[in-house]
Amino acid sequence: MAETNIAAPGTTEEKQNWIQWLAVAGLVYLLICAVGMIGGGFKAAAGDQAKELFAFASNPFAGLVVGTVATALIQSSSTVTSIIVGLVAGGLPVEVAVPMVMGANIGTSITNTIVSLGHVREKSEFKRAFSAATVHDFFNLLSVVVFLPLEIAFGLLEGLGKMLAAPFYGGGSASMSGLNFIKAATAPVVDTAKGALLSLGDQIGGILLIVFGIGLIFLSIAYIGKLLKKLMVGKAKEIMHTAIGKGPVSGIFSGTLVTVLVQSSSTTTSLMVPLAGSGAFGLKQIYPFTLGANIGTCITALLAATAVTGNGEAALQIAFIHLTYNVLGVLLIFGLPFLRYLPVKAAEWLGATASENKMAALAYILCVFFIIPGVCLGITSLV
Amino acid sequence: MADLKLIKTSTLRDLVEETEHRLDELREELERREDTERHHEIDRLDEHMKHAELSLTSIRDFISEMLADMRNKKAS
Repeated sequence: MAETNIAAPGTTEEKQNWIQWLAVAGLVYLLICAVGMIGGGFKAAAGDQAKELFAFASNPFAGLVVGTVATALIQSSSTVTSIIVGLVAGGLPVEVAVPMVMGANIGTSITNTIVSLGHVREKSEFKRAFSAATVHDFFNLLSVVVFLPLEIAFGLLEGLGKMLAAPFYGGGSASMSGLNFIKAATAPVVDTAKGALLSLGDQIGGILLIVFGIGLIFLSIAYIGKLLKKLMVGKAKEIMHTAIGKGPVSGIFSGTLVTVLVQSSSTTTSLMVPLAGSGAFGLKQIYPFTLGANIGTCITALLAATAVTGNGEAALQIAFIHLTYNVLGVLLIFGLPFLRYLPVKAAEWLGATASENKMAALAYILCVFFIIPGVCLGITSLV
Repeated sequence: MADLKLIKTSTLRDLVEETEHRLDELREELERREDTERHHEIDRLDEHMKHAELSLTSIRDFISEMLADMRNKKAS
């Protein structure tokens, strides 16, 4: 029978599991409260000036860079997208947030790339591990190359996100805003924090509330990830076993499910690195799991959008944009034969290059995640 | 193998069919062994999870390997 972390009734292990599950529930509750605090803090601090405050990011490339660098530094796309949801609820324009969400996808792929550096001692192992990590980077970069111009030209994702969010807000009998018990449940904590910090003044209090909310999101996501890794490893094994030999679509679904279970795309994609390093999994087997991880991680932003104060519809819209972007990315890039294996070919080339010259690996990480984004940010701020 | 030009067409046809069948069997066996290896690696998921975490040790190891690499290239 698969290991599912369910022990005999009344045992210490079962009690420990229950405590850990309660802790997860509590941390999820805190996460949602934190997003509400960020929204409230931003609204208080920025007032009607939200658009002006983020004017520097109104250039979509700047927004992309902000999302990339912030995520690369924080090492969690879930944290950054939750923060973005909170900011949107507080007044950040959705069109400014869209490229940031795309950037978060790129930034999060630094984690598994750094993990792959641990395989450096054995050349062929490092080649496999580095390729497995960077296939995620190349897919996300290709996704941006395809969708950012479409977004700039047609507002494709914004439109789709709005369409998906609309039924949940003020849409006649389909509206669920009256039944938002999550909002009601988180209101006491959010209102208490608001009351305490906004007494210091709207601007200072608002900024403190944002900082506090960000800290709380960071901690809750980090601990949720740690706990779920322990609790769900058995289920994750089960899901991955069923995907063996079943083809890429099964791999994508498995990657999605495992990521939803552990609430972290970095965990799933980083897990692919030692599996590839062992030689048992080729890049073509790893690739679909990685794509699934991109989709599975969207659940966090959707969760965060459930109980924001302020512009809830916009918050849900950006959460749906995140989901739509990742689903469409997989459908388009993996669906089209001439695009499907471009990230794989690029990753194989880079893995081979980096295994021969380790400096190339370091140069790649610094350039893609920091230097090029930094230079672009500098240029866009001058323009 | 006997000169192919001397083999009867019907024999050649049989040989091709037999070889294709054998190739299918070999591919199946290879796939079965590879799947078994993958299942085995997934059973070690707990161990792999430990190696899937960021650690300063692995960054330090990478940097020292990279520097050793550069020194060797300079020396040669």
